[in-house]
Amino acid sequence: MRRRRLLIFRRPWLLFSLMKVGALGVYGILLHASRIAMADPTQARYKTLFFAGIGYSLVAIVGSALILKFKDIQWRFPIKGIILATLAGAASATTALGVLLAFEVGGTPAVVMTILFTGASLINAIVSLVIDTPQAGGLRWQFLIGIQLVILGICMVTIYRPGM
Amino acid sequence: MKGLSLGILAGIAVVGVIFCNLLAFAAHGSPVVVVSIGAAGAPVLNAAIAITLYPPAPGSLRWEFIFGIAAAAIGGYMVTVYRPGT
Repeated sequence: MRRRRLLIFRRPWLLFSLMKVGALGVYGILLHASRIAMADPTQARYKTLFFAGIGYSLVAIVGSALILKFKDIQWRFPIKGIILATLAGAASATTALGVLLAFEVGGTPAVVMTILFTGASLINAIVSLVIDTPQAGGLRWQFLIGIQLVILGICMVTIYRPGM
Repeated sequence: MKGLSLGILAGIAVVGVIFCNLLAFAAHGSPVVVVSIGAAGAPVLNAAIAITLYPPAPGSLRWEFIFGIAAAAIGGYMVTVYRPGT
């Protein structure tokens, strides 16, 4: 008799997506815990950002360079690709700085990260709308309901955050 | 030392997100679905861990706050799945 395999093993992309959820889910908490553990009332955010950058560089630069080396890939990089990837890295570091500044002025991980994750989906959708404006009637009702739910959720998380 | 290692782990988590995205796309996951799972799952997981690690004062956790996280997560999922052009 054939054994039934778990859904995540039949669909590996689902496993990787859930791993991504795990990494995203602990990201803000790690930044917050690190900021507290730095025990520096004035410069903890920059110290945390510095070491988050080291962690990022360790994996992103060393790891990807090793993979590129072992796969024997040509070391040629188009200038447009270099600029866009560097901008993506700068956006990522700016996100971390924004999160740390929000923690610094009293934001908690549950509130700040909820606003960040769902707000980012909203911005992504609005940019998609601007870049690829749909034809009349091309907007689906689920999209419009989704936007309203995101806005409602962000407002409720902000207004009713613990301690208010 | 603790702050240093947690900071490095935070940086590694960011690369983990990017790497998992690439792995999911390589395993034939649709970008819309993969990104949507992240948009919906991350706020919920983050809130659950944050409230467990840093519990708010008794009685200060209101149902409206939990509802807000759920609404934002569902909304993030819907906005990503049903965005124009998909």
